[in-house]
Amino acid sequence: MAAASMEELGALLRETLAVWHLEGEVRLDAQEIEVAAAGRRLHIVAAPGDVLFPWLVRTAEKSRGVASVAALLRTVRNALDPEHGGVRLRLAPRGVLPP
Amino acid sequence: MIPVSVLTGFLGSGKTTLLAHLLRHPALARTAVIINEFGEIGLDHDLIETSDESFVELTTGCLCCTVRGDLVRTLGELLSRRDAGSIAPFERVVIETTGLADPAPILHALMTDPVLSDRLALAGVVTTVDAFHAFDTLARHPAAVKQVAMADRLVLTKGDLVEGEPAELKAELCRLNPAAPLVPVVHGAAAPELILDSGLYDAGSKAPDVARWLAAEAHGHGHAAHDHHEDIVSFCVYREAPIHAVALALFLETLAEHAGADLLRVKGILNIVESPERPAVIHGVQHVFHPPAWLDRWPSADRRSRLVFITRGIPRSWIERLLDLLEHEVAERSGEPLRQGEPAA
Repeated sequence: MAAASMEELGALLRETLAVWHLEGEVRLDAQEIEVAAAGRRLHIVAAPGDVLFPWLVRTAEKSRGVASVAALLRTVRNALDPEHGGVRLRLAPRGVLPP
Repeated sequence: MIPVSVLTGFLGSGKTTLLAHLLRHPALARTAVIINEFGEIGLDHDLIETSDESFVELTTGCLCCTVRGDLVRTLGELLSRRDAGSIAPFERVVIETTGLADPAPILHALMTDPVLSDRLALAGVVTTVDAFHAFDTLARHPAAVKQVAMADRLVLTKGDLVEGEPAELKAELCRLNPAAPLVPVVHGAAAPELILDSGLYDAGSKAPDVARWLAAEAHGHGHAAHDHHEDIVSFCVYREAPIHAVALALFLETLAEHAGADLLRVKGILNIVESPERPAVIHGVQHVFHPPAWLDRWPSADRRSRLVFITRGIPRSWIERLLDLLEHEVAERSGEPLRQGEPAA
């Protein structure tokens, strides 16, 4: 299976804006996803076939490759809401594999 | 592991009365009690009869914020005194919070402190709800809503002050937290096993409790229970196909990172690709997750992964979509044929 489709990512991002408590919009066409929120705008496009990551996130300042859905969300959030600070998962200190 | 129960509930909802009755029960004779009072003068201590030194009162502030370090230290000291034989070898701990407490930081402390989590296991959150005042309290105090939403047991007190069956209130509590059984109690008289044994991690109670909170699917199947209080929603997410351990880790990490503050409780039993015969049980409070507990076997013939969420405004569809995308991504990279997750409609 190929990486997630632009339609799937667009739908995820549309709901993710609400989860982030950001007002904005996600527009989708055959070539890219445009996300606008918090006075910022970025574009997500499929990466060229000769690179290892599936997508590029382009802002006015730079273009960055992302390798996974989790990385994409982090990159988009950092671009739209750089002050959010982030909260990382904490796991209680015990084994995480079956004994 | 020594079970630790957190007893919470809004001001005047009957926590201390309940605790006083519970502690008279022979089964709870070896119980250490930590009471946190908001204010300089502790009264609750005087209302509870105890026979040994396994009783600690914290009066430096609200347990949920200013004395979290004190709680960790106090529990550590209790364990040290127990080990040294200077107090009776207690077999259970009950922490009574202030009426204003947010239970989450307390659970975080219990789950993440390396010393405590080695010896103490969260046995559940018990929340008292005053049947007479609850509607007004829930409407006015977000802390009370969170206490209800995070509970493993809801204890309905002061029902004798209400005429007839408080059906509307029960329905409201069920909407806020469909997974928590509601236990009516009059003047604090309750059987300890109905109140305190709600944990996931005690070897003896794992399976029954899993079955109990998964019964929430009766309320959440196919639609979200939704309440106007702070947009709290509860729902179940199902997957037919097993989930890769890496996808689960990514899923929890992403949930915590992007929605941790609004993730009140998550409990789940999961069919993991790498452990098909032993399901994983997960439990999270906001951005803090307990490592998976691995059951010895499936508690029933139903081997679907089932996750119960209580959230503040996080759409179920976002969670399902995220889990699907992460699982597909991991399956693809591991070179396996795609197994389509089929969330039950």
